[in-house]
Amino acid sequence: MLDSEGSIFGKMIIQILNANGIETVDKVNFGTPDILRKALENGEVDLVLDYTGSGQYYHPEDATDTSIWNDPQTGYDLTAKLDKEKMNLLWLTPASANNTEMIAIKREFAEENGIVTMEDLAGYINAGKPFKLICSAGFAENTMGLLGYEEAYNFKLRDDQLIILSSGNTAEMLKALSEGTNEVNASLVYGTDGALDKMNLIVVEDPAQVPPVYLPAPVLRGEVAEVYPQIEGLLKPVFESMDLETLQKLNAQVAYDGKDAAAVADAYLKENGFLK
Amino acid sequence: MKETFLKARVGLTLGVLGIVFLPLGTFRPNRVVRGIPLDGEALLEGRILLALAATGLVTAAVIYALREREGKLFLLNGVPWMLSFVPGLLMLILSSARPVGGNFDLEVARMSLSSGYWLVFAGILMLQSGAPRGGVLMSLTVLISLAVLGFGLAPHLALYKEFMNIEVAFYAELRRHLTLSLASVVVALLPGILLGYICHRHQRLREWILGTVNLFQVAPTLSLLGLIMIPLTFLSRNIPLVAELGIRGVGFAPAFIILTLYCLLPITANAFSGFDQVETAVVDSALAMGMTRRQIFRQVLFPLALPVIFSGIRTAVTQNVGNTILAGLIGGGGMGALIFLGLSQSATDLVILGTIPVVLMALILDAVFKLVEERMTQRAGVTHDTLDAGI
Repeated sequence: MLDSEGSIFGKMIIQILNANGIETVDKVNFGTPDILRKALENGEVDLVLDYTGSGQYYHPEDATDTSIWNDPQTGYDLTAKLDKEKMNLLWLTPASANNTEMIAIKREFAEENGIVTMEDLAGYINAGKPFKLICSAGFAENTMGLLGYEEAYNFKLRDDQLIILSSGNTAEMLKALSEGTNEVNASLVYGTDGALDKMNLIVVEDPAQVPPVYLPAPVLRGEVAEVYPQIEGLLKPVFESMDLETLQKLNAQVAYDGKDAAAVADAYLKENGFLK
Repeated sequence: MKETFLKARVGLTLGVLGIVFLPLGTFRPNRVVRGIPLDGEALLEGRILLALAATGLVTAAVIYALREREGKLFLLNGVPWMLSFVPGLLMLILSSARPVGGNFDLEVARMSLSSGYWLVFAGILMLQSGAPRGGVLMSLTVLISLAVLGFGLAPHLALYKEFMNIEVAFYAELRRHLTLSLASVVVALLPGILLGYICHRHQRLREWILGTVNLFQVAPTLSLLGLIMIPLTFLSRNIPLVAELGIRGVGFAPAFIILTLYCLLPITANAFSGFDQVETAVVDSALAMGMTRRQIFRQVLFPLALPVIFSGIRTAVTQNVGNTILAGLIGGGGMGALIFLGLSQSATDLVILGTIPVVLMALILDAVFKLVEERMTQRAGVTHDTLDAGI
């Protein structure tokens, strides 16, 4: 992965495995998620970090019932089952932090207009007040993304109220939101993003739970798991310890304070007794 | 006007524009937020000695650039040499500068070099390029700046902070970038020259061959990378030998193949025109002397065409160093990996950190190849202009 979260998890996994006598080759920051998935399927890499909700894209023919992806457990179970049967890929224990797609606005903007939930936001939009959302193409065209939000909360954005970027990386979007570039006043954001607090942004609450759940989890090739069966047990406690707040904090240290991901990972593992 | 003066004046204008109208640095409280711009005036505030020195140097540079003929004055001729230190010194000053007021966590806060700084840098290089020993001067300027960064003398510069974060990866990616861009040229050499020779010998095949290699050149690199992943993935999954060779749909192999295809056009086209520019009379007399086709190729055609072929190789190398950046997108590594990492985290300084080595590599390789090319041209006794060649 090319984001801070991918770097942190990647470095943690490497440090844990190395400390337990498993040799690794560091290919953290290998590429974008689709490239990573290809690399894993081709055996170019043995272990990647992925998100449980991605299963809907890997096995679209089995993912017709979208409600599966709104529940953390069923989404994980289905993805793990399909990948095991079809690809011999093992989904290990995920973290509990949900890195899902949400909409962020500025704190001041929220207070001025009394926006807390998506219902409030829909009311604001339907009143015809100025609104411009910046998001990724994947989010804008997804029925579990913007289209789902529009249906659930009964509003409709015009084309000129949207700025659509091809990539799903939110760093650029949040920068635009916080600086008000092109009158942007709302942005796509991921749940574990560390920027929110630093940039004075808040997430609009989503009582209808529109987007799928994305729990970060290590995915291991079956052949490698046979050689190193201990990997699953080694990574389990680390991933279980990563809740939303922890992950937001670690992400902020890398993406915004500019600290080295390896150092952040090392400090966390030592503080929490995973490494000596 | 003499070129020296023209370059000096353009350079001076750039530098002065950079100092007066644009910020030299941007102080960022953290990595991503828009920072506080600092211009030359803000930097000199409260530093009388520094202000005097800066004014003196700028005045000297103005006199140096605006004079009408070359003087004997030692001090004035020393101006381009003194300017060599300016970009490095500016880094030192910027690294220690803080905006007035406000409390910053210095471990997190950083100073980015801004448009004004780069304009001053470009202006100085431009001025130096016109001076005697321009190449030495420019290299000195770049080396001093790199030394300031490399020895950690400017610890608060964002460039340095980003570098410290990725130091280990940096050198590995640099090596991989060089390997990838040079190895693909080497592999393209033999087929490229052969194709050029076929173009020269067979008029009918010429259009086809040149058309095909041209096609690789005009197709967007990125889409070619995407396209080649499909057959490679198929091959590596179905033929065990291919997979054992390490050829997979992503990573080194697809990047390598695409880069090799990209090198074909400059090498083939230059080889063709290299062979073609050899006078038919020369080849005919060789034939008349009873030389075989092979002998003619080895002893007449190839040596005479070599300088032109070599210039094609130079083009291929410099173009490849830039193109290799795209390998970062498909897991092939190289400086592109750092650049795209920076882009995706909207960390401009990381992008610059990845770009600088690429520019330097391209410039250095180009200079080295040019030198060899000149030697070769002299030895072969040919120039690109057949009239001057005296054949």
